[in-house]
Amino acid sequence: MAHPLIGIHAFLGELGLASFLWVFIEILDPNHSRIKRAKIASLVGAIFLFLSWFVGGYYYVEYYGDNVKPIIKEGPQPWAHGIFTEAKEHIFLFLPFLAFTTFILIRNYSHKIEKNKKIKKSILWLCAVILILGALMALMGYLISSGARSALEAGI
Amino acid sequence: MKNFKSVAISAIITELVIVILTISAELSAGLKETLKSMTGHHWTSKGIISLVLFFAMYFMYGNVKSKDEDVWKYTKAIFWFTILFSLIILGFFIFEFMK
Repeated sequence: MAHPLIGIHAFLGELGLASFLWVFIEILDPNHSRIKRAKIASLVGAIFLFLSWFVGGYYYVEYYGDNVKPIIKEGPQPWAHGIFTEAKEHIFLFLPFLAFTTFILIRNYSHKIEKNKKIKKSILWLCAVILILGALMALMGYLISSGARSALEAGI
Repeated sequence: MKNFKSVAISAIITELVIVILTISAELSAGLKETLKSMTGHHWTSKGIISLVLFFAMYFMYGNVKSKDEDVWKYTKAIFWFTILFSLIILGFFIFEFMK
């Protein structure tokens, strides 16, 4: 069974991404109550992404390095660690800051989102980049898990 | 609540510092060791540095003047720099693994 912390990390990350998908949908056709919900969803999403960072970071530092990394590196898919874990652990760091930035934008311009199309478009673009990076994190997570699984199947 | 321009600039500079620290630490064993000695793990140190840097800049530049027109300009910058920085990190580790 995979370590529970990796499941919690992924679950929190997914909740964070779902929150920003929710923000995106609310802002597509904004009105007073939708903007209010988007503001709450962006704050909640940012909190989930910060929590995902801390939980994933604890797992990575305390467990992955000693228990998973050596297995992947010895297995048939060493690139899973060499490329994707290395890239994921650093690109992920962008996400909580992007999430907080989106929350500040909605929080500070909530009264202008309905009328100002560029502010509305800005929120949609920020949500889009969060969702793109989030999808990339999920894909990399899948590749890393495949690397570990293939090593275990090879008897390492 | 501080303005959008300050948080946007903080986000871009923090991302840039993450890219620089990531690549530099891979190329310099000394830097990686220094980062490791700060917290016990180089990645934890990068995370703490980025967190402190982001919020320090955010509060430091919170009173800079910001216009509505700045929002779209800075959003585009965040969007494209984030894509570029992500590709640089991914490309760097592909290159490092292949060589």
